[in-house]
Amino acid sequence: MSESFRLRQAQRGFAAAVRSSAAQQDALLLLAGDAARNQQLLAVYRGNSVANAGKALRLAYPVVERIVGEEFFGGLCRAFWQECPSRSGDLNEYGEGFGDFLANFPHVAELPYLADVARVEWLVSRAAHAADHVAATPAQLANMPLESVGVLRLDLQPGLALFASTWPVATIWQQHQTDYADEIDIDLNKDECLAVHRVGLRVDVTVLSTAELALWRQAQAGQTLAAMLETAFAVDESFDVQSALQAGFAHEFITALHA
Amino acid sequence: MTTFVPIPDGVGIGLRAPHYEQALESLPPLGFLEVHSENFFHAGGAAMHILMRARENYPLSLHGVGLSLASADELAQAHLAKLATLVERTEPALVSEHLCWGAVDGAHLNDLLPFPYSREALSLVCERVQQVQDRLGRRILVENLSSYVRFRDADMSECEFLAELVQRSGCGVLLDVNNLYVNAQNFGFDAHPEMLDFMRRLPASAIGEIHLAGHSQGELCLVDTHGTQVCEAVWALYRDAIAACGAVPTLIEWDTDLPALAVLLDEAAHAHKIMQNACSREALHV
Repeated sequence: MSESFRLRQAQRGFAAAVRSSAAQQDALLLLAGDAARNQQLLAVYRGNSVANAGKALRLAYPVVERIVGEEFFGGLCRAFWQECPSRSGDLNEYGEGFGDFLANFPHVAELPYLADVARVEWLVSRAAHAADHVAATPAQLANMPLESVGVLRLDLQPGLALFASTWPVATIWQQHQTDYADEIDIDLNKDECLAVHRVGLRVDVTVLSTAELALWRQAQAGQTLAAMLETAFAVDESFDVQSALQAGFAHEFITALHA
Repeated sequence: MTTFVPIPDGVGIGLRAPHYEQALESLPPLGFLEVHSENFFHAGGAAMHILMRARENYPLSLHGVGLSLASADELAQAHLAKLATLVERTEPALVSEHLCWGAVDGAHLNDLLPFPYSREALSLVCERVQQVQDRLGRRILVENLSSYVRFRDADMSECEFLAELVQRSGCGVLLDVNNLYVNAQNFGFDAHPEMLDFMRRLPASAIGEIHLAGHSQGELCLVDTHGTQVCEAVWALYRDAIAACGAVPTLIEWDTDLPALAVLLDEAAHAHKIMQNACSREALHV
């Protein structure tokens, strides 16, 4: 029996009581003083734990909260906290599975795009904390000897994430930013591919064509520029190489080129 | 990079996101800035830039909330590794954690939870603190906890527990005067003798930092919200603490319902005045 067996038993009992008011018996046996009062005090801990998880989710999912409203979001946080306990002492890590949770949560079934919005927001928060990068310039590409262009490989910024949705999630994300001043105008019949990326320290979400998505996915997989282009043309014969690469530089996707 | 040494009579504030820009543009005269370590565990990004800017202008204190020193689970090595990286990167003047647990069987409640002060727990926490200090290559401070419940199965008081922990592991103590007051109110004892007990049992050099914060009156108990001004009773305890142990880096800690930066600076100025008065009195008695 491990030396810390009694401590573990005590913590299991306490944790069960914090997680659910229906599982307080073991904890109540551990505590000194009046049991009825201790039940209420355990509820204070339960409230703190839910509130801390809620704060972390609010920070990671501001667009989801704006879409469903503050009160409903509070309910979502509580339900998620019940189903998916945190696995880290760092609350910034909490909430990764929120998108998948929403996809299966019956009370948001009338907002079928919400899960993808959440998945994009998780990528946004990852990008916000990714290692800083130095963007490459188009001149670096222009200076490459012609014979090496085909075998060229591109390094991409650490925060870059590519995502394809059957919903216009990039537009939804953009139009729910606090600095978005225009009317909300979203065509829910559209699907969208997008990149989550940093421009300097700021995170942005940029709409991509399906060919661009294929192009950057190949780059992420470490393929050569020739292979990237081949894949992009297979998706779309009229793919515009020049504007796609220009956009890649402008959005700081590319950090280095090497033969 | 310069290595900062903490100013012995420094008063600092907790640096929180809504105050980042204002604090770093106005650079108020403060002894140090304290942040929650876990908020800077990432590789890069805007928050990390803010921390490095803060680091250029103030000594830093890294205050951890998630290491779960008293958990029966093994110490989370990934968490400790991130803390070690951050310590290397920022060379903080102070590094602290709480005398609490937050996870069991891998599931985290992300709160500062109490546990029975048993001999068993003492050996476990001593071993953990030593592991952390070995990994970081420096002394850490361990903070007394605010609690709403008490355990039947305790072999000693929190103060006795901390005193032994200090003796066995060589760690220091972050004395949170508000936590002490909240516990005293919640469990119906007098905070003043309790604090004197801390001062008597702990070597003066062990107290490496003091926290001051506000609490709220809950339905059943005082709740350690860090969301109000420091109350008069806590200021009184602080005066006595400083009189007993001399000038110690002191933090105004405010986490919820964050007010204007100026309010925090006023609280810091008040703490600074108390510390100066205590020190000048001390000097007169020499």
